[in-house]
Amino acid sequence: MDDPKARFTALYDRHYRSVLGYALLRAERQAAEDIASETFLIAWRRFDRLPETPLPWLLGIARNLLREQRRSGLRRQALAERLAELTPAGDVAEQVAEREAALAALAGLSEPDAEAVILASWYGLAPADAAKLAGCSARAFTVRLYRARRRLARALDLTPITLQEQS
Amino acid sequence: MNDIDERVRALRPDGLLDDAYRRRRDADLARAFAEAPSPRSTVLSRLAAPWSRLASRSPMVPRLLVAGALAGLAAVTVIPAATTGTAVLGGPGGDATPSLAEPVRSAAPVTATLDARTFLLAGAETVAGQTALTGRYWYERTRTFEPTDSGAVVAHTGEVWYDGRGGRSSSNQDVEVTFAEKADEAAWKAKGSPSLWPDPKTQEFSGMILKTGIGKKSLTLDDERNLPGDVRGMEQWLRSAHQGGSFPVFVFDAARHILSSPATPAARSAVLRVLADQPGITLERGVKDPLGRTGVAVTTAGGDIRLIVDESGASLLAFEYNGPDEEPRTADRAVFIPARKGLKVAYESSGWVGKLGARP
Repeated sequence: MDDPKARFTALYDRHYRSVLGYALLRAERQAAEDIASETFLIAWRRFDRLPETPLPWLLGIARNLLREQRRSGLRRQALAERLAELTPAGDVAEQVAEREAALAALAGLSEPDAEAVILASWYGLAPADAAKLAGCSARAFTVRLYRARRRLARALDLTPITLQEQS
Repeated sequence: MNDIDERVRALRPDGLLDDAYRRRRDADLARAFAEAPSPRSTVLSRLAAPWSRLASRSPMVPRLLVAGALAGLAAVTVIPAATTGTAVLGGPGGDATPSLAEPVRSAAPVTATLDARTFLLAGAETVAGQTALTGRYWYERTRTFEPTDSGAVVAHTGEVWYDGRGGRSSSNQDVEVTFAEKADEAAWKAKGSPSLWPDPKTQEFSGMILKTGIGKKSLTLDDERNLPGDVRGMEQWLRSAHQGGSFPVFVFDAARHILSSPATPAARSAVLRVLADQPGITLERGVKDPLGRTGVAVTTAGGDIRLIVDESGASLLAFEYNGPDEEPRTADRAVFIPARKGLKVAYESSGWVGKLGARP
């Protein structure tokens, strides 16, 4: 597939949702969609520099755009609060209860810890890539993730034995 | 579900992400492609240009002439299954694009339609409630209106019965020639009114696998009956079939083939829902199709393709192509005769029948 437009379209189709999901952690819905669009526009402009693993690269572009947005002084809503608004409650009582518990547990974490566990579970990023996005060292990120998972497990009353470190 | 990651993953707003993806994709891609890509990509883009230009023209109306026999089953590729069947390039004379998947049924009229999307979704609901029928032969009857070089529009009717390996085709029936410009007509008469169309032909065939071409995919009768019956599956299938160019225009072109195929009611409902999601579509009530039947027109954002459906939104009446003239191309043994601006296909009747010659 040598046609750059076809390759770019495939990139968009594969990763748009991930980029938007990431932007939604830090921006309102409309702003997040605009940031996702802008991310891919920038990606097209820099398409010759597309790395072999493109998702962290795309998320890095989105992160820089989000920083600019934050500097512009938009109201920042707590992450857990925003997730609560974004995900439908559903209508199965057990699922609703699980969701409420997970949101409450997430709300009890510091913002960086909550983001660490989301980056790991939503995207499965390698610690080095996730650390770059989170703006810390890989080691610090690993510690952050471990701490976050442990707190969530306690809050959700899950057996700690299910905890696994990301390698 | 007691794993931390699973619990956190369940909080990902997948529905919202899918919704935004569908809404923004075409505009985002168009916005990016309006700009020159990075330098290395520019070179690749130029290299790829001649092919991608062809590939991007999705409303191509492929048609095949098999040894002069199946004079043009629109959107059909023929692959010899057992005996013979050499595909050769023929002149104009295509008939019989596949028609409605099942006979038009009484459907609840849509009394208040706000926009194209609402209308199509209502049609999708109606289609979803229909019963899948079956039979020995898939039958279809269409009347095609084709612009020609002489300035004339030639109308002709075609019928086909097909059971997956053989059947009967009847093409170039009831030919009528009309001219929009008197000067063109006078010029034609001055040449002695030469024939503009091949003679009618009816013929039985066997050992043929006919395939309908939709983008990159070619579908047998069975493939058409196995198209995805849910909206997400259908959209994914359409994306995988899309060769390039405008996705909404491709969806329109694909929709007319799927709506006129033996696809299940669920699949036809799904394609109507995907159609409803395309940006910029417009609705016009009270229009006439090429046969004078009243319907509702749903048009692509750029106006290249217009689908006329009945008031229920569930049955396709006609397809009209108003985009730029296509360039001819060939692929394998299939012959694609390009769509010209002004091409119209009216779907008269279709459905399963028990024997050759029977009509629904």
